[in-house]
Amino acid sequence: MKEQGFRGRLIRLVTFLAGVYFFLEFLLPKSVLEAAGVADLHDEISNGFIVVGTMAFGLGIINLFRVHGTRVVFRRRDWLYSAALLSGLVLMMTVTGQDWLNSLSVTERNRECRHLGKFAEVIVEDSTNGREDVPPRTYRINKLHEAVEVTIKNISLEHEKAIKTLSQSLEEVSLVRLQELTKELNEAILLTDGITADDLAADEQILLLGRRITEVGVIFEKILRIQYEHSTGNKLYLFFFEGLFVSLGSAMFSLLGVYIASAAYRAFRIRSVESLLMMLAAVVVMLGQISFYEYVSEDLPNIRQWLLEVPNTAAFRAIKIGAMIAGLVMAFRMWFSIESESFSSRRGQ
Amino acid sequence: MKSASTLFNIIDTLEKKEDQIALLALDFGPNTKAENEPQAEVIIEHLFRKRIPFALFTLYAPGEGFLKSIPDRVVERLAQEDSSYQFEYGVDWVNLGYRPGNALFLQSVAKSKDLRAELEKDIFGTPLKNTPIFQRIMTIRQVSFLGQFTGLVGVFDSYVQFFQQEGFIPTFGHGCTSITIPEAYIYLDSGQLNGLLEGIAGAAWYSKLLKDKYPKRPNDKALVTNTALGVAHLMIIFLIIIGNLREVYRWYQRRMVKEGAAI
Repeated sequence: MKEQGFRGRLIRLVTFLAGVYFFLEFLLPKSVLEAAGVADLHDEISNGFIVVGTMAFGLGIINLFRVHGTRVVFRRRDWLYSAALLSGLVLMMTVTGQDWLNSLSVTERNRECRHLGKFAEVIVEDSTNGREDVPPRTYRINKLHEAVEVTIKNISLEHEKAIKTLSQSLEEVSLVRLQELTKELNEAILLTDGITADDLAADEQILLLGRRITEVGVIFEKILRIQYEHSTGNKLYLFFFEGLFVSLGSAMFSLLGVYIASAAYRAFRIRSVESLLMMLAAVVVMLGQISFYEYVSEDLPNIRQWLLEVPNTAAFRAIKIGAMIAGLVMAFRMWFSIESESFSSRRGQ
Repeated sequence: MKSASTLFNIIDTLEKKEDQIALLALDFGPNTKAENEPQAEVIIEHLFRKRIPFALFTLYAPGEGFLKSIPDRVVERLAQEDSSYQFEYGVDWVNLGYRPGNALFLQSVAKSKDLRAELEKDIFGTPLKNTPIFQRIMTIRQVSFLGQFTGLVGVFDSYVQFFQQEGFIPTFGHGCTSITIPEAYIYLDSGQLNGLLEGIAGAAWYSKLLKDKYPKRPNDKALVTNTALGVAHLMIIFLIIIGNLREVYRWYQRRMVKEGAAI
C-alpha cells in the first residue's frame, strides 16, 4: 500500500515536471532558454521523450505475447486465433528484420570506402598542420594503400558474385542499368589501382586516391541496391507487406462501404427541417465531387465550393475551437494527474 | 477543382535549385491507401518531371512501405513513357523512413540548424551529409514545398502548428481523405494551407492536369477510381431517397389504418 502511494506520488511528480518543462519551453523567449542552458539540451530531451514513447512498441509486443501466449499454452477458448496472431507477428518481425539487415548491408562497402576517402584527407590535413601526435606519414600512407587494395579486392569478388546471381534473374531495363554500372565500376577500379604506393608521395595523389576509392564505393552501392531489390528477402517482405498487409487492411476498411450503403437505406431519415438541410447539403457536395456532375448541373461544383468555403468553414472553426478547448482541459487534467486512476492509491477501495 | 488546380500551379512554378528540397510526408496506411496513395503518386510524379529533388518520410509506421513502393513505381512508369526520364536515388529523391515522435519530431526538425545532423541517415543507413540531395540543405528555410498526405485525425494539425520558423512558413500542400475535407478547408481559407487534394477526386483532377500538360502520359487509376466512387455516391443518394420514400409510404399506410379504425 505504502509502495503504491510512493509510486503514485513519484509518477505524479514526474508528469508534472515534464509538463512544466514543455509548457515553459514553448512560452519563454529563446534568449531566456539560452541563458538557462536549456536551448542546447532541448533536442536531447525531446529524443529522450521519443525513446520513452517508442518503448510502447516493446510493451505492446510483450503484452500480446502474455495475453495470447497464455491462451495458446493453456489451450483456452479460441486459442487457435491467438496462435495465428502470434505466428503472423513472429513471421512478419523475422521477415522485416531480415530485410532491414539486408538493406543496411547495401551501404556497408560504401561506408568503408568513404572512411578510406576521409582518411586520405586527414593524412594530408595532419601533414599540412604538422601534427605530431599521430603515426608517421609514410606509415599511414602505406596503411591507406594496403586498405584500399584489400577493399578493391573484396569489392571485385562481391561484384563477381552479384553479377552471376543477377544476370539470370533481371528484367531487361535493370540488366542494361547493371551493365552500365559494371562498366563504370570497372573503370573506377582501374583508375584506383593505377595509383601505386610510390605515387603517394605527393598530397594531390593521396587526395586523388581518396576521391577514387570513394567513387568506387558509390558505384558499388548502386549495384548492391539493384541486388537488394531483386533479393529473395526483399521479395518476401514485399509479398507480406504489399501482398498481404496492405491488401487485407484495404479490404477490411472497404467493408465499411457496405455498412454505409446499408445505413443509407435503413437509417438516414429526414425527420426535421435541420436534417433535410443537412441531407440537401450532403447530396450537393457528393454530386459536385463526381466526375459526371455536368449531367445533373454545371453549377454543382460552384455550389459545392461555396458550401465548403462559407458555412462549413464557419461551423467547423467553431467545432475546432470547442474541441481544442476540451483538449486543453483534458491536457490540464492529465498534467495535474487528475486522470490518473490506474496508479491512484484509492484503487481497489 | 480549385484547390487541386492551385496546388498544381504551385508545384509547376517551383524551380530546381541546388540549395532547396521538397519534403513529402506520407502519413497513411492501408486503411486510407485508396485515397492517399494516388494523391502522393501524382505529386511525386510532378516533382520528378520538374526535377525537383525531394525527401520522403512518415510519422505513421504502417506507411513506411509506401515510401519505397510509390517512387519506385513512378520512376519505372516515367522511364517507360520516355527513356530520357532517368532518376537516381540520392540525387533526385531520398527515403528517410519512419520517424517516431509526431509533434516532437516536427518541432525538432523545424528548430534544427543542421537538418543533415538532425535527420542523420536515410533508410539504408547512408549519412545524409554524404547524399548529393542534402549537400547544401541546412534548415527548413530551404524546404521549397511541404506535402503531407494523411487520413489520420490530428496529424495534419501538428504540421500547421509546428513546421515553421520565425518569419518562415513553407508552402504547404495537403492530401486528405474525403471525410476530412471540411476540416482541411478551414486552413485553406486562412492561408495556412496553400493547396489541397480533396480525396480521390483531387488526385483525379491533378492527374487530368498532368495529362493536359504532358500528353504522352497515360491515364492512371486515379481517374478510374474516381469514376467508380462517383457511381458509389449516386448509389448512396439513391438508397437514401428510396429509404425515405419507404418511410413516407409506411407513414401513409399507418395513417390510413388509423382513419379506417376511426370510422
